Amino acid sequence: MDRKLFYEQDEQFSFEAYGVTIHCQKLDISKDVVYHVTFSSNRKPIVIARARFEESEARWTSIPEGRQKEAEGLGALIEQYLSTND
Amino acid sequence: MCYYNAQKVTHAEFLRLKGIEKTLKEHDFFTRYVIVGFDFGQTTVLKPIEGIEDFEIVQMEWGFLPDSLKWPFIETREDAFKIRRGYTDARGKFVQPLNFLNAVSEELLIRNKVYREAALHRRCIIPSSGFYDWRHIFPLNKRTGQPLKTAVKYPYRVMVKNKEVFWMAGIWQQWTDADTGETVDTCAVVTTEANLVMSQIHNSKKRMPTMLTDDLAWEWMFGKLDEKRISEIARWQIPWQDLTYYTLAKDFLNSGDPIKEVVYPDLPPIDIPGGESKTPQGQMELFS
Repeated sequence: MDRKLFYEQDEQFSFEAYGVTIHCQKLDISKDVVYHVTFSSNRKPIVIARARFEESEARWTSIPEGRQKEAEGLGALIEQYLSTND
Repeated sequence: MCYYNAQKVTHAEFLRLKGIEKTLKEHDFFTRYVIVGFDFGQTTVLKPIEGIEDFEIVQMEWGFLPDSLKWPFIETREDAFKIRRGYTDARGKFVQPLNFLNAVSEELLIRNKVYREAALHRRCIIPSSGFYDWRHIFPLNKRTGQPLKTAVKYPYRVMVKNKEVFWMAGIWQQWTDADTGETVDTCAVVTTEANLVMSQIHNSKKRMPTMLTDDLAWEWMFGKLDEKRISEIARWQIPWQDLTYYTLAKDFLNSGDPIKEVVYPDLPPIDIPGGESKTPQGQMELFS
């Protein structure tokens, strides 16, 4: 019950893209990078993680399955945000 | 070789991703700030294990579905959808929705009512880090000075002071879809008369969830309770001094940060002895 799934506040950030505020929060459930992402629009929240696919380099994927394209797009936006704000 | 999201991955990677998936599922409550009752989605419930003083943490569908052999005879998902959303009957009359999200404590044990058996035998606890209700304020007509007919609705987030998670009394019922054989556990939050603070926040209905102390929550789940005691706990009112609250954006349900405090300068404060005193936003947050 008392397990904290989320990291602390400094592991959260928001940015604007395509007129929508995207709020990202890092999750403390894996040694790898996992984000819980919510939107100011009606889009459903999504969890994305880096995955090591066989036929390409590591890419972003949705957890659970079913929203691969969104995951890849959001992952790219997050990487872009982090690379310019670190 | 396995596939995840239609991409080829190794067995080890597949297991890792499924492991994250399982963890997320188990902690779904913690990944969502806002669970909207009218979505009839899953919520986390502490479900007692029969015969021992222990419980499982499970996901249940919020929106009690009564035994299909009893009124209102919800046998299939289609029936459930109709009953929950309302529908037009064969005579063209609109039948009002019955959502069964909240179980009114004062009616819990009335014979032949839908909640009685669950209240007697299937009590549970619904943990929460905060719930939401709307305060209705009727602005005055500038010309006549009379209140307008349409209220302005201000959403509030309500929490229990010094508790990251608090306990709401609940009842649950297993339900089976007659079409598919799908079986789900469904639940309702028990509600009681609003206390001083909640009667001003939820001023349209003057009700609130039955928020229990640790001891009462334990008794609700594991006590061998007679009807009198079930009724007493179900109606229990948390003291208004134990609550803390703040206002949210009017469109908070669609917000990227739904629990962010938004102050409305024109909104009259909640009238409590000694004046309104609030916990600064963030102090009570589960993840701060």
